[in-house]
Amino acid sequence: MMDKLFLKDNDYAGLLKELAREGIVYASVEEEGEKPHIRLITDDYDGQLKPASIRAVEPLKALLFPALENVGAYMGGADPGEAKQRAFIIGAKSCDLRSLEILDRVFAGGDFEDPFYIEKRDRLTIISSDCTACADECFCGLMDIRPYPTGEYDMNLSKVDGGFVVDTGSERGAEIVSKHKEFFSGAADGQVEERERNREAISLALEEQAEGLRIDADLRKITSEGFEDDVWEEEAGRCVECGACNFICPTCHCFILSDHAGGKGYERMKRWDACQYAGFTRVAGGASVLQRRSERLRNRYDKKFIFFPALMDRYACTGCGRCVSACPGKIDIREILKVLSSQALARRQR
Amino acid sequence: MNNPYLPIAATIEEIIEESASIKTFVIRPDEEIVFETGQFVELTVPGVGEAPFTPSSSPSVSERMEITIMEAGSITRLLHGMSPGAKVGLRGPYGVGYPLEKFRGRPVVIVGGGVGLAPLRSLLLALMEEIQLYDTIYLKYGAKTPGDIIYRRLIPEWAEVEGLDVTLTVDGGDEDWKGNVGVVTTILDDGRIDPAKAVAVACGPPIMMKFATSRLLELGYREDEIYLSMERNMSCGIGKCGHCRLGEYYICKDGPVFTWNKIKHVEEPFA
Ligand SMILES: Cc1cc2nc3c(=O)[nH]c(=O)nc-3n(C[C@H](O)[C@H](O)[C@H](O)COP(=O)(O)OP(=O)(O)OC[C@H]3O[C@@H](n4cnc5c(N)ncnc54)[C@H](O)[C@@H]3O)c2cc1C
Ligand code: SF4
Ligand code: SF4
Ligand code: FES
Repeated sequence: MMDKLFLKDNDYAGLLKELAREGIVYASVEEEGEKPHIRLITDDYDGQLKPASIRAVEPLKALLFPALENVGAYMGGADPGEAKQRAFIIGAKSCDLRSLEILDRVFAGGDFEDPFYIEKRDRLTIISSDCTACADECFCGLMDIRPYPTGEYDMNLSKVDGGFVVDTGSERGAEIVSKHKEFFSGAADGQVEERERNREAISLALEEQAEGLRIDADLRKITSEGFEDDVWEEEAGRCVECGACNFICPTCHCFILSDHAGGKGYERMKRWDACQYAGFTRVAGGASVLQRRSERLRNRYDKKFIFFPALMDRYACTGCGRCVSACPGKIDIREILKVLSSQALARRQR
Repeated sequence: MNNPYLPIAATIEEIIEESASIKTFVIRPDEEIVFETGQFVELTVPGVGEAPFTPSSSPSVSERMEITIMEAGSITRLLHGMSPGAKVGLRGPYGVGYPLEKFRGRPVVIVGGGVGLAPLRSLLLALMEEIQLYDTIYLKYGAKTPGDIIYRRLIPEWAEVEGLDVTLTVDGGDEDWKGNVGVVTTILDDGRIDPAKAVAVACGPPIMMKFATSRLLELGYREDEIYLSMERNMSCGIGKCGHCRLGEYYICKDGPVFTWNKIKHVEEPFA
């Protein structure tokens, strides 16, 4: 194994700008007065560059499964033929890396592959980074996710004093190092130790936050047992069907195909869809299996805590808390899980 | 690139009126589409959108496909307005076909309601092509009124086929109707069939599916021998878009046909 490397704070921006000559660079940044967000970095970017402390507002899926994507023309239409460029995401966090397991399964697994996803996934180099803070909404610990990447990255940056401890996780990551040697030096033992201390501290903070939630860790069980609970009806009363929870979620993968005339023929678009919309399961004639808002709310939990665990032994929630911040109805996944959990406990004590 | 989202072009060659709201479209795709009976396709109205349908023709014909369609909403309305020569798109086939090998040597009871007979016609044709391999095939079909019975031009021929027994019923008859009156569940009890040996295959509107399933179970059909065509809103047809979920399954990928034992735990499967 290669010794740990070090990247100086001063070289961070330089590396990103170098990478911007090789492909599209998306970086998760924290700019004055803004929440961490993804922005495009060009080689003439001169803003402040500092990796975000927590996950960006935008889920990683947006780079692989865009909100609206042309999936081609048929019967005479001209193919969009977009230029295929390498892309880099800098500063992806552990929770979002875990969402890739779900997305890979959906789009790259099964009998049919989605070539649009696979192609973007192949082109994307992931340079992740450790979380250096934990937001109030973060509850990744409940999903067994660490606040620092444990895999799925090409390169990882762990913030320490004066710079970053660098790990490479793939050939691609190693290539970045060999190609841009000038930015990297060996990390001192003390720096690696500092990284470990940071990781412990942030993990502890998250654990404390998770403990305060008092949620039974068997989410599969509490969700299926709580299928008939009143909580769905009570909480769904505040849902305005905006779809934000679905769209902002790194693992929500539902979409709908829609067609229009384009060029000399026709084009088909693949666009994010939301199971919270009344029309999601509506069939001709008006019937729907998710007629009530409460049924649609429950559907989201069913999918995340029953369906995906059955399919691949993974919760399809990363505890990123984005849906908590996004919901105008203040519907909080942690509160719902808390109710399901305490009801399950009460049943057991009866 | 192997793009699973795009259709191949196809031409409507003929349109046959089956009832006031149901038409059969004879469609020739530019490239042959080989399907198993029970699988479905996505049919595109160019520039507008697509909808899932199960071919009603024999799976042994791949250069042409018949699809029997009820006018029910926007895509089906546009299809009903088309004339021979019109261009459409097709992709598929998707889902899993009927396991015909499991039906061999046994009585096969085919239960259809309304336009639900369309996919079953494909099954019936497939069975008829090797009818000696099966015990008697019973077709039990119910429609609202005599005018709603589809394939009226074909049913007399079917009734002549040795090894095939056809029983029809209507919810409400008219002066000319001499046959059974009552919903399809009323013609399921048939002394000639040993439910313990038979397989039942049903397709029809949700309410009919619900009652037919309970009736078949009451009569002693085995849970894993009742094949049900399930329906949900669909978009992708390939297990990705999330629309057609039924419990732990996607109907487009794991169905559209399920045996009752596989889905009975799902809350309101026929909703
Ligand atoms: C596997 C399968 C096989 C089918 N086979 C037949 C058949 O042989 N003959 C027939 O007449 N009908 C069949 N249907 C039902 C048919 O798909 C719907 O009637 C049709 O989608 C209605 O589309 P629309 O645009 O006219 O209705 P709208 O209400 O305008 O629907 C808009 C869109 O929603 C989706 N949608 C709406 N209703 C349904 C539905 N019931 N099932 C799936 N998606 C739906 C479609 O994508 C449709 O284009 C089948 C459905 C499934 C799932
Ligand atoms: S459900 Fe909410 S907390 Fe869980 S992954 Fe999706 S957006 Fe994040
Ligand atoms: S974000 Fe909140 S209001 Fe919007 S659809 Fe989701 S639950 Fe409903
Ligand atoms: S129709 Fe898309 S998952 Fe079944």
